[in-house]
Amino acid sequence: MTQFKRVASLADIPPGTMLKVYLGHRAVAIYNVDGELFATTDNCTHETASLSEGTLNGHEVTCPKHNARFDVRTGKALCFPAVVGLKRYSVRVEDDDVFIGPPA
Amino acid sequence: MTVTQGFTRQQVVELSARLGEPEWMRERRLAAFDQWLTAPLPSREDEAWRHTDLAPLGLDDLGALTTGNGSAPAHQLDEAGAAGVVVLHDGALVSQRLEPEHAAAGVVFTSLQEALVSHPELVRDAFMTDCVPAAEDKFTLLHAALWQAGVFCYVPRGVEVAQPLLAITSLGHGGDAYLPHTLVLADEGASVAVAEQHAGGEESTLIVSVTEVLARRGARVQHTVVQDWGDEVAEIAYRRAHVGADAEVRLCVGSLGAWLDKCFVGAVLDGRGGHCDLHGFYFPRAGQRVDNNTLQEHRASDCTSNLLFKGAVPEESEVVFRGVIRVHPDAQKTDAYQTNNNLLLGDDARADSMPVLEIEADDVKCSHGATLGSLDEEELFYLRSRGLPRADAQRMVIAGFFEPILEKLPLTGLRDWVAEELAERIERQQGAES
Repeated sequence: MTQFKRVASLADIPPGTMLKVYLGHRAVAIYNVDGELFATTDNCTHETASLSEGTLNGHEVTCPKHNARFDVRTGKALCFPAVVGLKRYSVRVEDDDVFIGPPA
Repeated sequence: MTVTQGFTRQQVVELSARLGEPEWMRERRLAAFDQWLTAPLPSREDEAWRHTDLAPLGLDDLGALTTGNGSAPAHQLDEAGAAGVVVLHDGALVSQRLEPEHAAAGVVFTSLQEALVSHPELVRDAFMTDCVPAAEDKFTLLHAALWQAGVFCYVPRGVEVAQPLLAITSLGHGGDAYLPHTLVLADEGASVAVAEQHAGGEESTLIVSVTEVLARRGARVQHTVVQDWGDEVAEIAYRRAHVGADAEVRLCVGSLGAWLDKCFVGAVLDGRGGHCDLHGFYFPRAGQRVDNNTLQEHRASDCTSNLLFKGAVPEESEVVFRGVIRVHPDAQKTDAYQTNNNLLLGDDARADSMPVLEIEADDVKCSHGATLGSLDEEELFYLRSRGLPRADAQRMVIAGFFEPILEKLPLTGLRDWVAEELAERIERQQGAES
């Protein structure tokens, strides 16, 4: 657990929502899809807007700026204008604590 | 995020009293502080800030200023060849010297705190007025209210300082906020080169620095600042030259440290026939972020400006370059050019380059160019075919990439230090690849 950092309570991220946290100086978005958590870099690879300020629909997050979409499970860019995928991070949940670890 | 909770008016009053400043500076500080209280924080809706996330800066928790314990910095550059040296550590003046012949000619090279006492009239007209106005944004207002230390250089009319002057600004542990200021004032026909090294800072520190270079009619000024702040330091810097008629200014900014280096660097060409070279280089460590916003502002006719920013971007680091050429209606016969070259050294490295031309005159020549690429395998192959190992070939290609800027750095000590820092980064990059 040494490389993992506690970043939130599970209660902060109800199913169907997202939360922006910071791992050092880097913004990370955590997604709760039907109780399963995923984490990626928060910045859209197109124009660095904050994805956690966008919308989450199933496993797809949509950027609030230009509607780029990404799969939060794989980080893959699903449509233009984004062509580069998101970096994914490991997520662990222990009791009510959410931990973010190294890139997955 | 408000950034108004931590700092107080009382801090401003106490700081001004501790520095023994003239009344007018205290009044200016307080006026800036009052404006700062209500000024909006830049947001990502602002074009110049849309790539910058201010949340990790912890602005709400700021409220204290870095204070020194009078100790000397751990490392200093080789001063050989410098006509004068000023060393500031943790905001305190540690040492200074200036060759007697220059002092006799009226040259002043000292800390800004000292200059406020010894030459207040010189500081008064130039400090945060035309070059970097105090009211430019929330951070410049904070700086105007609470700047703690700085470097001051004045060269009288017609005086030429042949050898460069060296200023070293360093932090020990750091922590909290540090707001250093540099003011270089070259009177008509004067000539001077000032080189600055900014380094140190172990703890989480926000640095808001301002550099003002004022070149009066016919003056020639070269100003170089290279920062290698610690990994927990974030810097927001405003470095600008005000170029008078027929004056020549060469500004160079080097970025090696700090997890965030957001730099507004530019030149305002305000008199006919002025010229400015703006050079920048950057080689952050993995995970760091460099965000350069440049400005070539042509207000007068027959001026030229030339910008070259080059950087290597290692794995997990991000670089933003936003370069503006602005030509006012009266600035006919402007000739302005900007180039940004980025060398991506990893799949996860990111560089954004955005040129902006705002032209309101009709008889001008303005252009820009940007390149983005990885190490050229053909160049590496050629060097390896001559017997060089791949690592040496990479080192040579990267060093060659920076050479057009590094060869113009003043002082052997500064050049050697930058070369060592770049070599260390190249080695680290090669270690990450192997």
